[in-house]
Amino acid sequence: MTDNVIKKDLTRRNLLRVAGLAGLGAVAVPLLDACSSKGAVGGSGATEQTPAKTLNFLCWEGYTDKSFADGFTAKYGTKIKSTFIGSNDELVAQLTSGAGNFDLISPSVDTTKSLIEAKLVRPLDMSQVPNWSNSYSIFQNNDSVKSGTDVYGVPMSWGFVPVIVNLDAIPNPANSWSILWDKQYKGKISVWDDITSIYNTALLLGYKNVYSLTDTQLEAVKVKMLEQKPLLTKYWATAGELTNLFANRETIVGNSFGGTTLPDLRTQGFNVKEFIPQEGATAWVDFWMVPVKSTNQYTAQLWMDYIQQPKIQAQINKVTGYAPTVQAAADLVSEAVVGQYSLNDPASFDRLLFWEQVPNRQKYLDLLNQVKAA
Amino acid sequence: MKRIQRKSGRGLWISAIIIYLFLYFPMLVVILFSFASNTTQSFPIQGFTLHWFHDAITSTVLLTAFRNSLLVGLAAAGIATILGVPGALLVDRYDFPLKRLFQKFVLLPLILPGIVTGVAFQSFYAMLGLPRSLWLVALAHGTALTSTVLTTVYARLLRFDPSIEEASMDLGADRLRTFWRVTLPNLRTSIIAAGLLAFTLSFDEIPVTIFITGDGGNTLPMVLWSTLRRASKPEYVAFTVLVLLIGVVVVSIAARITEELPAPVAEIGG
Repeated sequence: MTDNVIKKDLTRRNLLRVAGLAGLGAVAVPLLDACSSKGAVGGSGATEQTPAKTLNFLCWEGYTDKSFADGFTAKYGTKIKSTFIGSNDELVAQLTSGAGNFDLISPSVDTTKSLIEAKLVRPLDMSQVPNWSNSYSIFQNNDSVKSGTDVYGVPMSWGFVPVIVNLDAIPNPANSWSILWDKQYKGKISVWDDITSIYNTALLLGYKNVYSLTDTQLEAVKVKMLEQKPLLTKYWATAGELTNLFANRETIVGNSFGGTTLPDLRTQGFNVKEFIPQEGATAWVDFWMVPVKSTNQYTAQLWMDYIQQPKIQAQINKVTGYAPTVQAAADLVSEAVVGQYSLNDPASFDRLLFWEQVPNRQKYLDLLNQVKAA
Repeated sequence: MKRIQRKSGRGLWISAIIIYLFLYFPMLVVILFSFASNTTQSFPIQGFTLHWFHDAITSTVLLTAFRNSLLVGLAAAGIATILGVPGALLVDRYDFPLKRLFQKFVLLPLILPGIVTGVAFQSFYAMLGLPRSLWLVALAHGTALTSTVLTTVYARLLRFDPSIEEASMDLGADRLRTFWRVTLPNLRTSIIAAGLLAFTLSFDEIPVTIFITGDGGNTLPMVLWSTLRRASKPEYVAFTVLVLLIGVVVVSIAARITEELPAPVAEIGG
């Protein structure tokens, strides 16, 4: 008897109760839809030569900072919508999973080639990006953004991976990567939780082919990294973490990837220095590229041209601490930055080992994970 | 007897204070740094300022992310409640084929690491070809949090005396009226608690969200994560303190509301 009652009641007047509870969720839905991007195919309404209404970015935080992005919006009326990534692998994962429609991405140079080979990005029409010809030639000629005569990326910012040291704690640091293996600094060393730690160890061991290490060489690198591990405070994962480690004096020497760590620490009164050791250092450069699914290549190229202006490059340096990719910007940034990156001596960039696509990247990453787990 | 009582009184106070300090000391440190003029979170404190709070409330990046997190949290809590409350009632009161399997499946999101849930949703949405949006994020959160709501409400149901419902029906109320006027009011506090918990868990969710966000905008923890990649920004610390303040206010209001609710059993005659 009770079963009949249940059935009758449930079918008869369930709606009101469900609707009441659903109200909360239902109210949020249209709000969420309104907040979501409507940048699907055709949503931005750009014709061949008029700027689109919205540009969707998938990039590093800070690369669409209001201080220079607002000028672009004012000039072309295009709204900038950004989604930020925490790593290059995340960027590739977002693109390959196919969801989301981005117009501009900012991969680092070790990722660009695989994107070109996977046909995930479009070749650019450089006649639409006249300011590109003012960037340092080392970036214009970089093989990782070219395929035949096609160019796929415009450089945004660059930097290198130096040793960073607190001079008050270590007044005369050794000019070598071995400083990060020095037992007298035990517990106060921190290196990047990243593939670059493999590159740096390889440089210390005298291997010049850091992007194409053989299995034997990788074994040697692993042994060396395991030797270093007990001396570390920890592996730092974000620049914010690195800055705080130094600021709290938990770490006195390590490596960085440039950026605001050095200026931030100096503002706090720390006497820190970044330097490239005698074995050399790797360097990175981020390129703007246009994913194949985007329908706004014209507007994307307007952005690329816009950010290559010297005054905008100087502003980008102010916000991110990264080095400008246009030589004319050297006159507009501080002396300290010019000195730090030798901006007026582009020949000096040749001694840096710019990141490249690593064919056996998975082996490198596995090694890193093994070392961390050991 | 009196002496023993007094002794345990003081001991209880001391251990209570120690436990609360242990739990909340990190938060106190964060609050301290939000007022410090240092650009990094380190001692010595160089001065005090409200300037980071000003930067925090004028940052469109932060405000947009906060709004997104709020909406996603509300929607997720809504979905979790709609699915979780009937689910709890189902598990408590009815027997159906594969019930034991259902109970175990429902617990999966609680047991599995968030990453597994995240990858599962990413593949699922990709398979359906759905364009990314915050709505999908809310759906994923809501689905995963259903188990939280279900277990919370189920625990309350276990303590629920079914004779109250029987008394109500004896007095002439049909099942639906009994449910609405007797069962639900008794569950009210646990539903509110479960809803708040679901909202909180959705608000600071990262491992599931990281796989599903796209060009629809990002949630607050994701924005904080991707910013930290580059720099340690003090205005973000200030913003966190503001969020903490809002959380304290919301929970206080919720606690006050549930305290003031009239005793449910008295409503049968109404």
